[in-house]
Amino acid sequence: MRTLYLAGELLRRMFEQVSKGPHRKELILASLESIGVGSLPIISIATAFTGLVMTNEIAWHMDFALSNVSMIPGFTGQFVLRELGIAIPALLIVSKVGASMTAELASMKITEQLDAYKLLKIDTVSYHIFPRWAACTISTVCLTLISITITLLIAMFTAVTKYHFNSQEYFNTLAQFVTTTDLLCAVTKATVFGMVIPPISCAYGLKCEGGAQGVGQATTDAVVTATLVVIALDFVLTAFFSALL
Amino acid sequence: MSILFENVYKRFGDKIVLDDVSFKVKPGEILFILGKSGMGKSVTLKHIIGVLAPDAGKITVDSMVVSSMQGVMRDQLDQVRQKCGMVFQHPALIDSLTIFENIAFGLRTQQYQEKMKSEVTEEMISDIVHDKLALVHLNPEILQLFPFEVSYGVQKRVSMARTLAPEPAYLLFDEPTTGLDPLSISSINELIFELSRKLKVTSIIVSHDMACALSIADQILFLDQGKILLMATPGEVMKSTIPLVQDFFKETKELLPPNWSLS
Repeated sequence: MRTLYLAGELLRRMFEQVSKGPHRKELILASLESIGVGSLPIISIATAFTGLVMTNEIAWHMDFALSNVSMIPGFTGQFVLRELGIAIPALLIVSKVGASMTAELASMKITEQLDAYKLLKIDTVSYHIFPRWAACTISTVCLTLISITITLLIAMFTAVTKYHFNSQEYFNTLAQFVTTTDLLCAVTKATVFGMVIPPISCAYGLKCEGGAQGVGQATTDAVVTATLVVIALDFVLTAFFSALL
Repeated sequence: MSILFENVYKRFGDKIVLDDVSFKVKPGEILFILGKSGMGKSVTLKHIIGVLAPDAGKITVDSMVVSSMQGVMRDQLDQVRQKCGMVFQHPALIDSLTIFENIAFGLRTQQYQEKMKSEVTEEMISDIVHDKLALVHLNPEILQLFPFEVSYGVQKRVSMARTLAPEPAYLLFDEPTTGLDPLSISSINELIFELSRKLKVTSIIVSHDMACALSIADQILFLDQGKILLMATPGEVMKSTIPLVQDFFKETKELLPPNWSLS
């Protein structure tokens, strides 16, 4: 609980730094490259396969239950924009970016780099955590939009090649089911996930004790907690948007 | 210009790490803190720079009470930290910066500019970095390398150069020779002695190296189970009848040259 309290405190410090600065744009840009660009390949590949599997699954179930696959675009569109296209990138960011943040900070703590920072009057939260938090938030939103696009394109490609849709027909059906509110829902969820993953990961890094085993334990705990928090928040936000719609 | 510990207590969970610790380090003095692992030696150093706060007792650095500053008197704590340079057990260099930038880091701070009472130009910074690098016997060719591109021993020396760059009034060394080969250990010990005497700064060295302590210390403090077992000059330490001190000294005797005597 103490670690979660620290995560909350870190999140508060992030908002405080957004309003008061310093904004450390150069460090944010460097982090954007490592977090955003660095995560693009794995998220693209994972979501491409998701689009492929999901279209086939939905088609099989529709064919089995209704003997009709004409609703594939609508179902895949809603599923991607409301859930899969957001949750999968977020969980991948937890395991790739969040784990790396925890391990990095935990290693810095056990090798006394953080104490050296204090002596050099470097504020770890402002100098080290804030740029990564800002970059992670921006990257999660961008990667989610890219992930949605890739998933939908692959889903359309599968529908066209395997289930004999033409692309115009696919788009028209998709447009009937997907609204700007769905897109707003996706962007909101991605922003929230991007904001909460770094504080949780960093809090576990800062609380790390012991040697290599401690780093491993902190990283595992951070990934497990961040995954659970993302899933719980997904549920809360889905309920919120469902009530709104 | 002194460091004063008065009845300091520190506990981590159930374990008492510092138990009624009191001592004084006079200006220009070299104090060695010896003791077995986990007896509170590094914790003592971290209290001086305010990284840790005592549960009870008072720690004073140059008439400033560090023990009451944590979290509430950030500016004053920064002032104390400005006076102290600490070489950590690990080199603790910033991985993302080159060796030059690591050494120069403390020179670019607002506090250092205020201390110098004038603008610190890049040329001045470069001169200081080269000067400190020479002091730790390193070649300027490594300046553009990153910490991971040089050996552990070199990283330790770079860490010393970084500590020395802002010219602190107090030098704190936390097991500076841990993890080094015998040749590097001897060279680092000579370096500490040279730096402490040449720069005439007050030094506190946490170590297991009794031979080095006997050679260069003004005072040696033995910590055991969080308590001060003995604080004395090297000559007094050699005559001590305390079993732990004798054990340390027995181990060291074999390492000292046959004709060795206290200077």
